[in-house]
Amino acid sequence: MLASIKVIQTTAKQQLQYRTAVFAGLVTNIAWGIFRYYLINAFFSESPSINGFTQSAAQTYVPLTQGLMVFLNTFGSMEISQAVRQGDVAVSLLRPMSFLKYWMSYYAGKSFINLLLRSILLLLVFHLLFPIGTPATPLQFFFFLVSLTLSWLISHLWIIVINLSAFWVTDATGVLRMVFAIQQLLTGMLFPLRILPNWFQEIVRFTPFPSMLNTPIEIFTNIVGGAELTFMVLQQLVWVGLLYVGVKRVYRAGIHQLEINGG
Amino acid sequence: MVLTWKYAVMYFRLLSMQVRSQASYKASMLMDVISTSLYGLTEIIGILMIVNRLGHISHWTTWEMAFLLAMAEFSFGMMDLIYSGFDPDYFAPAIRRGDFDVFLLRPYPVTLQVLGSRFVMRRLGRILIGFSVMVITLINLKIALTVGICAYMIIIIFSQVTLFGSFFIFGSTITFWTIERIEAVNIITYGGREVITYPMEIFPVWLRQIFTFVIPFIFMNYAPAVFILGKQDMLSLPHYAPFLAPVISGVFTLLTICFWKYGKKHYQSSGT
Repeated sequence: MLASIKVIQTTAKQQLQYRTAVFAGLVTNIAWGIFRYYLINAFFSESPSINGFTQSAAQTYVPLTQGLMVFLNTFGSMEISQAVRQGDVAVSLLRPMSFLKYWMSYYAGKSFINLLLRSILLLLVFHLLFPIGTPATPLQFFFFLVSLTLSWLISHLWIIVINLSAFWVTDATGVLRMVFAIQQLLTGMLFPLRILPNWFQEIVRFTPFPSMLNTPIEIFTNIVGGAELTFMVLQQLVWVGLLYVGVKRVYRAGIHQLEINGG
Repeated sequence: MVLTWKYAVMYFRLLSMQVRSQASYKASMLMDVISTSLYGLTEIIGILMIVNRLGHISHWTTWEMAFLLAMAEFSFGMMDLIYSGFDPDYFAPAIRRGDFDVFLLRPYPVTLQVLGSRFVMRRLGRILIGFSVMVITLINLKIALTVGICAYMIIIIFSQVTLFGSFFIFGSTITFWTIERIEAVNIITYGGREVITYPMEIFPVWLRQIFTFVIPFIFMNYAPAVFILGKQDMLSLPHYAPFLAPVISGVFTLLTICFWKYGKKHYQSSGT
């Protein structure tokens, strides 16, 4: 535990060194959010609700996705696959903590800073520009926080597991890029999943992708509640479990067949 | 004349070097092309699924929206390929490492060397997607491809490519002083690409004014698409609006060339 906290502190400090980059990113995020805000609003010019997704939910959806994007790492990350390719992954065998624990702590440190400097600031700025809805009850907000935490875990476990494909594929970059590209649509990053065709939602429902972003957003915007909410959070829990086991297995199999030539 | 010919040969040699080195890993390059095309494709598919559900966005039907998207995707892909060397994300590290200093030592025009220093083949993915969607939409909307329309489309695409290219050069020139790339430039490059794919009526007046008088995105894709598709112009732009694109990109290109030359003259190296 102590080791994890040390890693979290170190990466958080590292990330803090890039303050200007973080703020520059924030400016771009806000501009982007404004463009998207008007596009998404245009969908609702005829009716205030599409398939149960309301215009006011959509207006909150935009800053929320823009704000959480960096925190949840929706665009993915390729660091681990590069560590595998260059053989640096061998170091993980020497560390006094597990591979998974190390990388999760690493990402946690980064995300923590991004949450403070980017997510929260962005939402505040947007709040000054446009009306942003909030969860209807404190309980709803509590569920949002639970669901967001689970989303963070799923998103990062997923990043780790597909990065480990580098153990077998020589050029994992291409594979990762492909997955991250499709992911934008499937997680609800590009558009709210509910306004996409029903058949599409039916397919995506059985994948871990909506659990990475769409679920906490639908909770925050009060689109779901009651039994549906409980079911979606349970689904997230299941994905955390499955991916946790998945990462462990894949890592063990990868390390088992790994051969690194000294140099 | 002889000299220009020599430079042209040199440029194409640099490009062929890039192409050959990237093509030597065939599977990996194919994968890169596919994955790059997926970024544009998921966005296009996503928005088309939504417009299809709603019937239209503002006054634009599904295929008309697809046309706006396809034009921008194709042009931006072309620009991203041709101006790869001026991509600020690539140029800033090159300044830091001192790669740019090497260009200054060689007896060839620096600008040509930068253009020839990088040619990212995976951008072909975006170009192919943009082109295919453009063809499919033109067929679906039954637009007669007369010589006039074809020539007009080529001019518009050329204007879009050079406008975004000038933004890339602008973003790179700044790094002469800042060393770091300035992320806010992304607002006009990648953000600009995003903006020109939307029907301009959806924006409020203040944003539309910025896109008309500050960075005239409105004339780059929206006005030409209204003209090509024979749509009614909801913003009552002047009748010459569809023909402003080449003028605008010409002015922006000229301004950035001056800025680039000025920056080059005052370049002081990072000392690496």
